[in-house]
Amino acid sequence: MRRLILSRLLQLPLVLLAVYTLTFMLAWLIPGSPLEKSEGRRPPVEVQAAMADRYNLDDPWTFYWSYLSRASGVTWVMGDRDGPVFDFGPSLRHENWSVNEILAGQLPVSMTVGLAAILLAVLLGVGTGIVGGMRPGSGLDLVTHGLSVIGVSIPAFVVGTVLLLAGGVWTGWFPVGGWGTLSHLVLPATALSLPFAAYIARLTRAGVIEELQADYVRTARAKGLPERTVVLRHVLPNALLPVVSYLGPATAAAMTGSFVIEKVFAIPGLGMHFVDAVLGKDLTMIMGVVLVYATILVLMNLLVDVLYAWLDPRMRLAG
Amino acid sequence: MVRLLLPLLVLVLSLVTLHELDDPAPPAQFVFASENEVFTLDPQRMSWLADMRLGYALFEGLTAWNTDNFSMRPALAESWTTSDDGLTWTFTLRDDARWSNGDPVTAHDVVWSWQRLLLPDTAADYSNLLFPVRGAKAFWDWRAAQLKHADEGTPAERATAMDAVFADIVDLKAVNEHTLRIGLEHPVPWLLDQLAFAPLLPVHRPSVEGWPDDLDTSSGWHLAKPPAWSERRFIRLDDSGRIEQDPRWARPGTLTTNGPYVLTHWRYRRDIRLAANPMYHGANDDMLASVLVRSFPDPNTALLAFESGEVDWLTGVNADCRTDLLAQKAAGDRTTVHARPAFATDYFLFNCRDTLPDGRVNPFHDKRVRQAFALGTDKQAIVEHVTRLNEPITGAFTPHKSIAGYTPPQGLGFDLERADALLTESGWRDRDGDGLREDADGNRFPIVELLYTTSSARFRRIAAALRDQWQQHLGIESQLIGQDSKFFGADRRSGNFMVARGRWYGDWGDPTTFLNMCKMGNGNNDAGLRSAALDSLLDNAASQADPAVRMQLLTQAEQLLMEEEVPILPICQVVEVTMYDPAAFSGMTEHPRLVQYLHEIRPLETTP
Repeated sequence: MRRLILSRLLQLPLVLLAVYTLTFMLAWLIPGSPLEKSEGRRPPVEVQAAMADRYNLDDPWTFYWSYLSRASGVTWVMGDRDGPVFDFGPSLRHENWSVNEILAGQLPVSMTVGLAAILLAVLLGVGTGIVGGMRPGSGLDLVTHGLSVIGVSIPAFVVGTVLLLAGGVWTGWFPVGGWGTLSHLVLPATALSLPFAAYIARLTRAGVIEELQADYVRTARAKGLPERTVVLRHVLPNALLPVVSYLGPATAAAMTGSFVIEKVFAIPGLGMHFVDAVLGKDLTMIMGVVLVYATILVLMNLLVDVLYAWLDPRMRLAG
Repeated sequence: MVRLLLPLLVLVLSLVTLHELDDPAPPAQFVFASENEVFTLDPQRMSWLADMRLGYALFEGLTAWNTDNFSMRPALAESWTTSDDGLTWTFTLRDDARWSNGDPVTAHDVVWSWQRLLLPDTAADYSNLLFPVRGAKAFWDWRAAQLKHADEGTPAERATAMDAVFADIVDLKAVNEHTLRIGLEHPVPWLLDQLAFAPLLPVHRPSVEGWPDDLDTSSGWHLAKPPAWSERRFIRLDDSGRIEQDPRWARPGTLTTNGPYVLTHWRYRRDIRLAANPMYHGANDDMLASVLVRSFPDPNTALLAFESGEVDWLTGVNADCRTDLLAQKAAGDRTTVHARPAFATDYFLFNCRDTLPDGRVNPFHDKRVRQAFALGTDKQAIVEHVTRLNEPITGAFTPHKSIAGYTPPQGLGFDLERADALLTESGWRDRDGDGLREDADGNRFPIVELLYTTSSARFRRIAAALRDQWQQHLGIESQLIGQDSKFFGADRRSGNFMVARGRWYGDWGDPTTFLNMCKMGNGNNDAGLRSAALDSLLDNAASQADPAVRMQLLTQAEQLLMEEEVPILPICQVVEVTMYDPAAFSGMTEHPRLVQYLHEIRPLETTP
């Protein structure tokens, strides 16, 4: 186990370097300059040249190395300690903000919505999955199955708008968009959780059906355990293994922000602004966000592996 | 079971922690949603309407507009005089004007802020606003050259030299604390109008540069000894002596303002909160005490927030259902939606260059072809059936009824006979009876490439309508090319298009804010028009002292532009749709210039 964690952590810088290099090449190929506007007045040519020079936009190599050195903390370690340790620089499109500030302000918001959605998805998905899996083919199973198909297939902006209309405008129970209180969290987390819940429900259902056939379940029943104990203590831990391995990437995906959900619910999260950064060729912002995302993804996968081993003793022996 | 519940517990705990870290802004008396994100609150760096609206709330310029008819009134300047030749202006500043930290606002503030606008270092979109000031252009050129040749003196010496050159050659002087003199190169009849414009708002030097807090500037910073460069927090000199600004001075806590409001909160793409500035000379109890600007990236959500009463004013309604809202208003079922013609024109641009970048001959280099395309366009059909907003259609670039004393020309209307005659005259007619036009050698008219941005459906729909109309009316085929705005911008700028979409907002109350775009050498002349006749008319007008004669010359220039040269195919005046309840608030502007002073908004007593 310790070796697994250690080797993953050692791989992290290499993964990040590869991600950084690849993203940089792709981002640099976006046409135009982040400093120019697509319409409206343009600053004089001298001004554009000066800005390009200041942000190293005239030379990909200088940009690549100087950004890498500041973002990786090398600059800070070498003694230039004006900025934070990992300094992603100023946003090129939103000059009043550094990428670090934007990440610090937006990422927790995206993470809150994402975590709430995953939590909701697990409760909903595992619940309906067990119900369906215990009596496959029953009416209840068909209903939950139907709901999960709907959950996967309705696009988020439709669900979002309907939730806003029903929960915000008509009933007035929840605020229409924005951020700040718990009531702001309810609608977007619900909208975001539906597709995850649907998938978890399917995984749980399949797992429960399969495990219920297993020999140890027959043994458990034979020794007179009540059905509740059989399902909760014996079947569920094994049936949930696929769910756990799905949860890693799912949580990472939910926490890094959803463009549609954040846009529809006017949530100041990172997902939407990342898309805008790509459209606007905001190089520093793109690189900063991608590096943070990659770190989160690697760490989440590691967490899942640890959790997996903890749930399944066989993995512990193998590790 | 514990094994299963523990991860859930961790999830819940981290959720609660994350949520507790957040800090919602306090409620405000007036909430509005901006049509765009606010990029900067630094007046000299502003170029977007949403930024400027807040600029006018935070800062006060020498003059201000009466927003009902856009005549000028005193603001920071209480009075002014002008010499007979219109070249020298003297402004007297109010002596009770204060910055929000209590420092007096002096003529030195204005001069320093304008020097800042003029410096290439500031990289302002509007740095050329001040070029009519005597010596300003020369100063700009001098500084640009100085920065290029970084050979003599230390950076600090070079900065000092720059200040000396500015004082020496630019005719912009603080005669004393309350008197400002401006000397102009040529008469600028719209000077007073321009002085109210956001990039010319004054800023507070000690805040912009981040002077140490213990430095006493309470009787004006010009009396204090400026701190060493290394002691200024928001500014530094690079090796060439270029002044590098840290834009973070324009944030809550450090932003010092002289207008009706101060900035209390600003979070990236989330919210901005203003509170009444007690130091403002015109502060009064009727003004809104606090204003919150909320960010709604999705126009439909913004509309829902307005409908639920969370937002008092939507500055721009872009939801697709706005035509339905306006229909409801026309039917008398709704009072909260308002459509207003703006100081802007939606147009398509013809490429006037001889060839396209890939070497093909550009059929639109012939102005008869451009005229024919303009004549073959049925704009009324577009505003009725395509945009469905019934915008005022126009043949001119300058919007009608937006500038006092100026009547834009009629331009080219919908006239298929003339269009056909012009195309035939230029050699394009249907020679083989297939309904499409060919030249004398039998080559078909090239397929017109119609460039538009995919960011909104509006221009795609208009472009598709143009394609159909030109096919039907002129017998010429077109191809729609929808592009992401980055690609579009690059292609439009480099002349890689035949016809491209455009929208232009005027900045100051004078036709030149539109017409200058088509001058040779203007950085925004994407059409590549080279018309000596137009340039000489515009230059003539610029040196004309008599306002009536000047306006006549400008009408002639626009007539030449819109009826003869035709680099631009204007479609309609832009209509802005806004939402607010007229029974809840007064003081909302209805003038096309669309400048809304927040301190003029008054809540009305409403009976519940």
